[in-house]
Amino acid sequence: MRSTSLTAHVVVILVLLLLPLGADHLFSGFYISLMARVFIYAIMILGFDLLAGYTGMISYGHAMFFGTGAYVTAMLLKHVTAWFWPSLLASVVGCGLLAYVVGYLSIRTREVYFVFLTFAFAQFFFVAANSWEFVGAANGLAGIPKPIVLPGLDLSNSTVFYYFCLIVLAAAYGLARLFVRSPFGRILVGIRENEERTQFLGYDTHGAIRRVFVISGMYGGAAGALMASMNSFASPVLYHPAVSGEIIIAALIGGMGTLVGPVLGAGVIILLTDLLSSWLAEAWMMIVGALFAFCVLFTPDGLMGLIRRFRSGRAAPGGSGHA
Amino acid sequence: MDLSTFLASLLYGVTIGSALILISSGLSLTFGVMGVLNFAHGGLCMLGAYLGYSLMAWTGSFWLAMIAAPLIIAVVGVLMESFTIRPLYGLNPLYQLLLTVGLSMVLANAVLLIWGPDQFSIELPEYFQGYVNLAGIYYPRFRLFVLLFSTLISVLLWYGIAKTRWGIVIRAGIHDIETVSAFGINIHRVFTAVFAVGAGLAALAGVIIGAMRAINPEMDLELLTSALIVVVIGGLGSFKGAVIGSLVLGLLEAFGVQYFPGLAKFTVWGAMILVLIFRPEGLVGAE
Amino acid sequence: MSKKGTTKGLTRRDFLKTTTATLAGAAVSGPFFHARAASQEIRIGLTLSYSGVYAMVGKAVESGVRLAFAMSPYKDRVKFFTEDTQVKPNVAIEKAQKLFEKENIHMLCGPVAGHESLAVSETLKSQKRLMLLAYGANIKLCGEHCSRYTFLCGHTPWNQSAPAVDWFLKDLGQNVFTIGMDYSTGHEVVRYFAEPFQKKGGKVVGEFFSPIGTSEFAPYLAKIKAADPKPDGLFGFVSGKDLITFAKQYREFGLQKDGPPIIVGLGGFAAGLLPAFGESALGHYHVFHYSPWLNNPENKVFQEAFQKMFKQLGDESCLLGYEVGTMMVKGLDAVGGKAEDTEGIINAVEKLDYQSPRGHVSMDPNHVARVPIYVFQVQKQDGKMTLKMVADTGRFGTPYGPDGPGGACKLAAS
Repeated sequence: MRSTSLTAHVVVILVLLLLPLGADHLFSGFYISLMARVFIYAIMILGFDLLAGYTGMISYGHAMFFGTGAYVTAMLLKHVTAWFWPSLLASVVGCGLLAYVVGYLSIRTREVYFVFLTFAFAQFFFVAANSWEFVGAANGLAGIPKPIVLPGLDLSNSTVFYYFCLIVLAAAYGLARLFVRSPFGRILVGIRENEERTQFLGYDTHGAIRRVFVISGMYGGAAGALMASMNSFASPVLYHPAVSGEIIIAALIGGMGTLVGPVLGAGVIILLTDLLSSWLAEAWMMIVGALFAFCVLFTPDGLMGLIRRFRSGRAAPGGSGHA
Repeated sequence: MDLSTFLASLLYGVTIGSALILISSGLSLTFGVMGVLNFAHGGLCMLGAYLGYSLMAWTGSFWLAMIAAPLIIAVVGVLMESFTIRPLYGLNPLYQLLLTVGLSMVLANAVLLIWGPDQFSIELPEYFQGYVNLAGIYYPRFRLFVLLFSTLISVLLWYGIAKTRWGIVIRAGIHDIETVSAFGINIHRVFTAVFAVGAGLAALAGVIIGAMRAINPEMDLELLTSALIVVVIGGLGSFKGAVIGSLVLGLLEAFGVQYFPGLAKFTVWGAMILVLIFRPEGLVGAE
Repeated sequence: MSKKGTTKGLTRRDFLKTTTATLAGAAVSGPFFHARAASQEIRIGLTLSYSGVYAMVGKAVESGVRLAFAMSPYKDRVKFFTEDTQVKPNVAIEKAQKLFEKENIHMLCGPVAGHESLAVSETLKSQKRLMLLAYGANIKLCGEHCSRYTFLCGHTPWNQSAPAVDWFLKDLGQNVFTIGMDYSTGHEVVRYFAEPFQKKGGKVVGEFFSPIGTSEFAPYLAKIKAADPKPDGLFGFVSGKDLITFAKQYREFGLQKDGPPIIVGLGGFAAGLLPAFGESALGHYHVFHYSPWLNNPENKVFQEAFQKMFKQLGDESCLLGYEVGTMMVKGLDAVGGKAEDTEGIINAVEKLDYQSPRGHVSMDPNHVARVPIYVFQVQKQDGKMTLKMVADTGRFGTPYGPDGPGGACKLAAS
């Protein structure tokens, strides 16, 4: 699998770093908040892709990590401390634990059951969050203070928040890269290509998948923590199946089984939905749905697959997706 | 906890179950027979309900709506299957699932664009209104009809799948497309037909549900969810399981409301999780 | 991945090109739409629901706001910006921010659901941005979470339940069976009715709370039939598709004919929804601050103007949007049309006191309007379903003291 070149990475990072300079001059400051949201989603989808793209297990309940991460951070920020780091840690660890438990119960035989189980778990959380007064029930938790990241610096300024999210994303991306290139990462690719064979080779595939699921959950928790900080709000809607669906759609469109794919997918989904909601508000769902169906049919390896094939001329579709 | 309340709950549980049988039959058919997990099922139900409403508004005939709507949606099903699902046969079933998720979004938005955001309801003809008195328990006439009708549908489907030649052909076709084709049977046409029947069943359920409840632009998700829960708990791939799952769920809901109010929403998802973990083949088991 | 068949039609190159082009085009054109607000322009944002079950409410509210401005001196200066919140609080927050930051709106007509409005109000509070709510009836906004920058035009869970107590006791009887959807508003409406009802000697003979989205009410109907002593009426809050389903099944099971009438707070049998009920709504009641058939001169003016502009009946949602628009217009009048003077507009809206199609409307210190509350019954007139006013219970705001339903409002302390 050819990886994206170093130059491409550098260029993109430079553009992203310099983007806020254009705010209020070339374009509205609103787009900076929008990009921050792209970064948050990118972290979430990156985590999802580590599981789905590299092992083939599709979770239709990833919103449970997003929501739990957000709620944990919101509760801590509101009641315990305004410092971001403890909340982030709690969200990440909490979601990791959740993923461990859910994974232990769900990662067994057929992949289709995994889809249903994760869906059911997320729904369970949704109903629970909606009814539990302690976390605000349907109202959710509002009026959360803006978290502090350094002495004297909090995340209320949208440009500061933008850079913060960018840094977290960069860290998440770097970690994912290391992870995928490690021997453990190779095992995962083996599982995706042929689980039985990998098992015959002596690897505990279920255990490996469970570990990836934990990591995937932790990424979701981090994204949730950032989301709660952005909106100063956490609500049961974060657990909705539409959120889980959005994650899957974005991952597929971007290109599963790659690292850049999730970031691209997050960008496409958020920018496209924002664009459509302003100009074609009544038909955005149809357009996104049709685009997604189109992708599944014709380019299941997403944008990254397209780019790869474009670059290698008429070469056959690459190695992502399901065997 | 007197006897009459118990009997009433039993009766209402079966009633809810019979509605669930109709809703889940289409999904169970396409998955059980073809292995296609159709997440657009709820959307097809919804489309059927809206279409049924319009047909009834134009012609004033409930029966016409009940016959024409499923036929029209069956055609939609044919189009759906031929152009979008057929290319994905033989691949990982998750692709079909994802594709139908996309299609469900298109369907839901289409309904909103065509009929607008208003809510509707199908008015039943005179002879379906009112109720019968069953030993002190009031049972609406239309519910009785639904009960009988869903029993009829269940029997027909079970017979069609298990006993007829076509049923055997279809089930064989899932496993080995080449061999079945070698017998001169155009398996693709058969699949399309089955999918169309599933879509028609979904629409039929939609029309009937539309007569019992409110027709609104979000009913696709709740219908799909109900159908999924039934199919999963009853046993993925087993039509008999779907019937049993429907009854179990219906009874759970009826008794839950009477004796354990407040737990309703949780129990359903908790049950689904438990079944999936401890008995993934469902209560009945795959065939 | 092995794939049978080839890609038909659109080649991969085309797909990639068009996608890139679209994204690039969007990125470039974005800034050109970021207009520097002309100092004469009045920019009004609306974060409503345009999809899903509340879509009709969103459109109706918007039409009301538009009408109010069309009848004002600002009709040529006003520009509207709408966003769909999908009835999701986090989307509502994001869209509200988008409208204020990207489109530079001056004030916002806020979201329709209670949990959305609370979330947005909290966010806008610290940013000192003004929002007026047509719906968004969250009891916490009336008390604990009241904000200088949020105004409710009078639609709250309290003032459409408690005022009906006296009427119920007088016209229906002593026994009530309470019903509600199983979430905060459902419980609130029941509580605000049941407490004073019982204090005045009434009796609650039974209750149920159905999960939102219940489609099978048979078990609950059985409970109603089994209630002893027989209730003189059902009171509570079931709305939207749940109420349609409930009323239909109520009729199916013979209760519409032989059983007690249904009375819902917060306008469940609204004019816009009546067609969906068919015959099942007949004879039931709802508590609300308006109906299109109210007989007063202001309502005549409103209905005539609305039907001229939009070619359909101005239902409850349209009127509430109209009231929000009216409040905005009156606020602008007080500051000479200078839409940037948020504080001045707020001061003016706080002092509002006028005759509206609802009746006499004024603003209470907790930023919740004091409005007339009526009981309407669904009746047939000339073969069509209408809402007939059967009682005028008086004018009500929503209490905001420490014992108030939403807690104490600090604004009202001074």
